[in-house]
This record gives sequence, structure tokens and C-alpha cells, in this order.
Amino acid sequence: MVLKFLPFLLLLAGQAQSQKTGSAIKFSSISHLGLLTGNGGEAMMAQTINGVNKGKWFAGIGAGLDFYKDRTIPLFVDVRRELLTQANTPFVYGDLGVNFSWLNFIQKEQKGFPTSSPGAYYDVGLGWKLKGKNNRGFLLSGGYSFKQVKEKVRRTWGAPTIQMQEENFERFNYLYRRVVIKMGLQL
Amino acid sequence: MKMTSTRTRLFAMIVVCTALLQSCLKDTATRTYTMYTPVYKSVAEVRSDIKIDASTPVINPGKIFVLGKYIFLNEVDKGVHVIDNTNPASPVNKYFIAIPGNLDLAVKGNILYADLYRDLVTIDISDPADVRVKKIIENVFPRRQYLNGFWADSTRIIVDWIKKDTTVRADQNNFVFDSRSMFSFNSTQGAMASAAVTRGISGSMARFTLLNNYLYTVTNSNLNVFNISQPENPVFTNTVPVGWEIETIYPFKNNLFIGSQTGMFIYNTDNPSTPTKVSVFSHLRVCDPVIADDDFAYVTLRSGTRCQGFQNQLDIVAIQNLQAPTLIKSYPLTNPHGLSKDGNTLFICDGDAGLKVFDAAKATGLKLLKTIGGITAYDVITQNNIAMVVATDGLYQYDYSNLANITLKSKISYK
Repeated sequence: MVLKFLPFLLLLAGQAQSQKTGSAIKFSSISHLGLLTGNGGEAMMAQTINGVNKGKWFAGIGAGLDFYKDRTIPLFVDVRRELLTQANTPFVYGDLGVNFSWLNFIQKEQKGFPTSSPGAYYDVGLGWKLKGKNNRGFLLSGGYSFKQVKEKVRRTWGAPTIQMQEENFERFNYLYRRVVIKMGLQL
Repeated sequence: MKMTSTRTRLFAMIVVCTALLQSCLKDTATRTYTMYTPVYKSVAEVRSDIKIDASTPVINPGKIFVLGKYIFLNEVDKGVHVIDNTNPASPVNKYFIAIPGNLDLAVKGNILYADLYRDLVTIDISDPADVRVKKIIENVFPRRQYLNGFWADSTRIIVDWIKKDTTVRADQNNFVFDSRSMFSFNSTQGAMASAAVTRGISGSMARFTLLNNYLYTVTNSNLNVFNISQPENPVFTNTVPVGWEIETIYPFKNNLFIGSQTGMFIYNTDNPSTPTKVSVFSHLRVCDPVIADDDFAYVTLRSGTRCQGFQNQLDIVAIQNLQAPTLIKSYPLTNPHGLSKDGNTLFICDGDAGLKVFDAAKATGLKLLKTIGGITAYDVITQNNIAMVVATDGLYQYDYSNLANITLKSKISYK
């Protein structure tokens, strides 16, 4: 599933990159594939981040697919900075945004067909960049990631009258904390 | 050499950070639900609380009954709003009759019949300034019980519920279940008053109905019969077992159409104190308000948390032969509730999909004339080209004298 998206994202990023090179501020695109691990098990994730590069700094807007426990789509702002000027350099990054639930049918059925609302999302970490030409490079990073899923489910129990039952809901607030290991390409 | 040293330090940092983060890698979840705690009063206190007050805002409306220029709108478990509808474009919420535990009602002339928890209360409303309780028949709705193991104190009456949100950890499976917070069920509705007095109309979701000199009410399983030839002095005459999951009752001519979660029952009232079953039209387990005319019964089937099932449709059932009701055609709907028919025009409250208006001149070829969206409609009564619609946010009145241009006349918003 994730692998199906990756070539397309890379192609898009590459096309955008080819339009602007050599200026101080350059468009840049990052595509990630990663592994999430926490006490809820392991899951895959994929991201695309598009933004601008200036010197050691990069800032962009990203979207992803996150399969940890509940399938979700994080939308976030990504800021990162390279720590050295060498061809191969460590970097730090931080993502902050909102997390949208996109449950599959089985997940919906298991949870009683909830209605979801956006939750918080962040991801911070360290990484290593192997640079190529024009600041392109291969990225490897590890970090700490958090996503929140908020859901509301209608319940039959608990309400003392039929009328109250019609408005009887349970609200769930899931907080998922994971280690994330990502590899990707910056174009 | 320097680069190698840097890499080593970074690798060490990642390892240390990851180790430190282990304690922060716990997924957590909270679950918030509402707990209901009953508020009790003594029977004497409850009865002394029956009184008429100045109007109060409509907060949580239930059943509706129309008599002449007045709309009687139930406030769930609290009482009855009396709305002067002399001018449908500007209805006036005039009085509130406090009847604790009330869910259903019917009005014949100046007499209001209402359930007061397990009892039937008869109230003279001829003088709004001085309503009088004429009679209380005790324990005729004994099935107003609570589920999931909760039993109310039988010596007192629950008059209110205190709602409190409670949040618990959901990731440790410490599912807290409060046996005090369950689910109650009661019964009653409907209406078509005595020929000798002004004719009243109940909604199709009703559990009380008036037919000639009798008040018929349905509980979860029984049909109760009250002789009201002396309106101020109803006499509990009979109980007829019908089945289970009974929900609504609708009168037409000398027959009662009773909706249940498993089918529609037709009872004949030639002997009014002992209605006899004529036939049953069965369907899958869903909720089903029903209305009828000379040739057809119109049954809305809806699924949902309480109603279970998967059907959401209108069934039109031929009843020319009452002994053998026959399904003519089903029409898919979204989540139909109450319905009403005026001539060839059929109104259906279709839940979130709004109020749907059909040309029902041909039962096999219903034509959707209009969908009034933007409201979650629950029940409807039609009278004098005005459709009175109980929705989740207000009581709407639509003028349908021109079906090509149905217009909103007024809305009483809930608080």
C-alpha cells in the first residue's frame, strides 16, 4: 500500500525540484518511509513533505499515512536543521500538526462506527543525511512521535430513558506514543 | 578522525534518547461517559407537584397532540407545554402543566389524560389558572422499568436524573459499570377523540389514543383499555396482551393499528372494551410507527441503536382485507420516524434527511414532491394545511396549501 505511493511522490518532488535550482531559497521535497514501534506493536508509515531549503534550514508542510493502531492521516508543519556543513551531516527535525482518523471498515466495526474529530500530532528526532548534488540526499532518522485520535460512539447502556439513550455517547481519547525510524529521500 | 568521533557521539545520543523514551512509549486512552443518578420524591410530593405554570422553554420535547387551536407538546419526564396555535405563523407557548414522569398524553374536551410514571392521571384543564387532578389510576403502566439490573425504589418515584460525565482509563480495561445508570421504558400515545367532543389528533409515535368513548394505551406488551364515557372519571376496563416491543398505536375507523418492533397488529374494537386481534403483518426487527386509511397502512421501518435491524423504509400494506394485510411496495428511506397523511399527501419524518413530502395518490407509485432538509424530524401532525413537525431543534409549522411551494410558517426553538 505505502510502496505504491512512493514512486509517485518521488516523481512529483523531482519535477518540482528541477524547476528551481541554484538560488538561495530552493524548493525541496522529502519522502519518507518508516517504522513505528510502541507498546501497541509495530506499524508502517509514509510521509511526503514539501517546502523550502535555505542553507542548513528546511521548512515545509507534510502529510502522511500512519498505520499505528488506527489508520490516520497526519497533516503537519516540518522544520529541520542540518548540524554540520559537511557532505554527510546530522540533522534535527520537528513536526507539529493535526491527526485525522481514517479508519478502515474493520476498525470502524470493532469500535462501533464512531465519529472522529482531529487530534494532535507531533514528531521530533535526530537524523543523518547523506548529501548528493544540489542538497539532495538520503535521509535516515529516529525520533519520538505522538498522535491523538478522538472518537465519539453512541451507546445503548447507561441512559435511564429511551429519549436519553438517543443522545447517549461515549467519548474516547486515544494517545499513541511511538518511536519512529524513517528513511527517505530529499530532492 | 573528527567525523568518526562525531558519528559515534550522535549514535550514542540516539541510543540514549531512545532508552529514555521507553518510559514515554505507553499508549493511553480515556473513555468518558455519562452516569445518571436518580432523584427521588415521595408519591405524595409528586402528585402535589402537578400544577400549571407560566410557559417554560421547550428543552427536550417528546410526543405531540393537537386539539383545536392548541398544541400539547410533551416535555420528556417533566410535563406538557400548552401552545396556542390560533395563528400558526405566530404560535404562543402559553402554559406548562408540570406532570413528573410524563411521556404520553391525550386530550378529550377539557380533560387531559397523561401518564405519571406508572399511573394514569386525569386532569381538568378547563381553567388554565386552576387545573385540577380529577383522578389517578395507579400502576397501570407497570412496565415502566429500568434495564440492566437497575430497580427503582418502589415506594418513591424518580423525578429527575443527575447527569455527570465520568472519565476512566480505557487502556487498562477497567470498564466501570454503574448499575444505577440504566435504561427505562414506558408506554403510551395516540388520539382521535370522541365524536361528542372536539376531535384531537396525536402523532404517529403516540402510545395513547382516543377512539369513541375509550382511551387505549399501549405498554411494552399490552393494550390497556379505559372507558372514558365519563371523561373526568376514566375506568380501567381491560388489559389485552398483544406481544412484545410494542411502540405505537393509531386508530382508524373501528380499528387500532399497533406498531411493534416485529410487526403491525390490527385490532378490532367492535367490542370496545375488549379489542380483538384481526391480523398481524410481520417484518424484521425494527421500529415501526404506523398510520392507516381506508385502503392502506403506511409503516415506516427504521433501524438504529435501540431499534436494531438494518431496514430503513416505508412499507405500504394493503388492508382492504383486514384479515390478510399484504405488502404492496417498499420505498427506501434514510431513518424514518413519524408520519402523517392528508388526502393524497404523505409526510414522513426521515430523521437527519429531513421532512419528506410525497404524492401518495398511487400506492405503487409514490412521488417525492419535496424534501425539507436542514432539520432532524421526529414526528408530524397535519391539520388544516399545516404540518406541525417535531424536530430535534424546534417545533416547525409548514403551510402546504400549495404543494408546489411549501413554506415555513413558524418555529418554536428549543432551549
